[in-house]
Amino acid sequence: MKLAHVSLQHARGALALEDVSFKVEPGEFVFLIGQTGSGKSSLLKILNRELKPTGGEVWVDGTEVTSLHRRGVPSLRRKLGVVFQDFRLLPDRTLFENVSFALRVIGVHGKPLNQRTIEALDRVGILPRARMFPHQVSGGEQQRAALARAIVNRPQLLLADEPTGNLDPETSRGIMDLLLEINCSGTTMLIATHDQPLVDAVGRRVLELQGGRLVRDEAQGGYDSAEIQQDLEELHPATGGSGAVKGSEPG
Amino acid sequence: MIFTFMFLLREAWLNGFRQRLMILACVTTTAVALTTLGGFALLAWHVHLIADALPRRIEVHIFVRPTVPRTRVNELMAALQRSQGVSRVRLVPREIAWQEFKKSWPGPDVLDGLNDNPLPDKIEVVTTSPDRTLTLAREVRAWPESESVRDGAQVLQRLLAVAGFIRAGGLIAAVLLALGAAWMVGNAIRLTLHARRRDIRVMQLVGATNAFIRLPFIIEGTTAGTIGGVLAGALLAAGLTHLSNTLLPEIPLVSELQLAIDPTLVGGSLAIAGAVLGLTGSIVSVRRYLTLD
Repeated sequence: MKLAHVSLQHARGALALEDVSFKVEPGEFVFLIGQTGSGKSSLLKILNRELKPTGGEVWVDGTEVTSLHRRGVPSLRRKLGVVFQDFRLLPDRTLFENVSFALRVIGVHGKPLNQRTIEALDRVGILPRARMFPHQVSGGEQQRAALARAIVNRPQLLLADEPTGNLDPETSRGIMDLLLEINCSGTTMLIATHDQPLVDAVGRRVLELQGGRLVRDEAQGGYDSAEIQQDLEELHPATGGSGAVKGSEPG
Repeated sequence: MIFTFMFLLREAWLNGFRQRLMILACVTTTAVALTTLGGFALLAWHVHLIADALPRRIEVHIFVRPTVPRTRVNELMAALQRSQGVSRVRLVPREIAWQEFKKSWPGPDVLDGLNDNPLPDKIEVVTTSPDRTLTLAREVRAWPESESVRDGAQVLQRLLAVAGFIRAGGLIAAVLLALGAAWMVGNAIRLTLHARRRDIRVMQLVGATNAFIRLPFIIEGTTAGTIGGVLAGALLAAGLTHLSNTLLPEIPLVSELQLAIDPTLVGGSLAIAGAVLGLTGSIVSVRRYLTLD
């Protein structure tokens, strides 16, 4: 996945992204962080062609996304898995049906459909809940179902927009472990998040956006840059700096 | 392929079930619109048949002056027989006409005061073509022996005017009702699209093609239109059968024409018309309101 000088200007003139360039190698696990309105969601939407940038080039698995014809968009999206903060499960279908729906729309049916759906549900640990409806299970289980739907097509790239945003810390850790496990099997991950403890705990590559610009690309970073961490440690040696930052929610 | 089609059918059924009230309204409107449309079409068709058949049925009736002797009347009839374009000539003698009239008159007492037969001899002429009816009427009007001539031209002209009005009015009403029905189907699909926008979004995100997303809605609209058309066809066919058994045989002229139209043909045509309306309405709505990117 590669972005080269990507800009996005909304119709009202506001600049959502400005000259953003970076490259993600296959199998990488990358956090995309930044305050609300910094352009994280816009960037994810550009990657799955929900939005078209006003400038620059976006490459996903050898396909230049911005110049892709409308008819080619479904093929692009079949290579991607997407997870959202609000899960976006269909309320009148069981978890099994929600997950299998992603296979049905691309023409998988019969035994392979059942087999792959069961595999995906089992992998995220909610197979016993397969016949339940979204409102009958917890938020964490709903997010696991959404994750199962995202991976059931065996995507090469998984995009997650605040996947732990609606979950308690313990459930969030479970979801993050699951994401890491999926990454271990070769799926490239781009996770937009506000979850500071998780970013700090996982210690993977971090891309930080501020006002639509990419201000940090750190190979094994934390939620805050290394310089800020050092300053905080100097100010609060007893807590290692973490006490001061936890209270300041980025927004 | 067949599995995909079955899945799309199931999706269309689910859509329809969730929006059942709207679909019911849509089916009812289509049925009412197509019943009216079909009714107008049948009425226009029947009037056309009557107007077409009437000129052949109308005869020229020549009322001979009472002073003309019967021998002269017979000569006139012989001349008419020899005339071109005349298929039949018949005399209704004034005596027989008077007897018939007296029989049909509801109060015979009133006629008792009349000693003389006031009716003239009448010659009825049947021609071979409508045009000949009109020219013959002109010719015989010029005869000194004829007191008056009736050729039915006025009746024919009025009937043709009514037929034209019904045809034009029926066409306008049919077009308006068809557009109304298609709009109703389109509106139902629009509401379904709104209600299912989350599903559509999820379909898009997991890589469904535009055709895959659109087809259930088109199937739903076409089915609703077809059901409306079948209902309209059944209503109209039942009405037509009832009329042809009860009212129509009582109407002179109409009863003699073979107006019975095959109810299956009426039902089938309206079902197809309903399907076309449903298909058109849903395609327009899906193309207009379902933005896919």
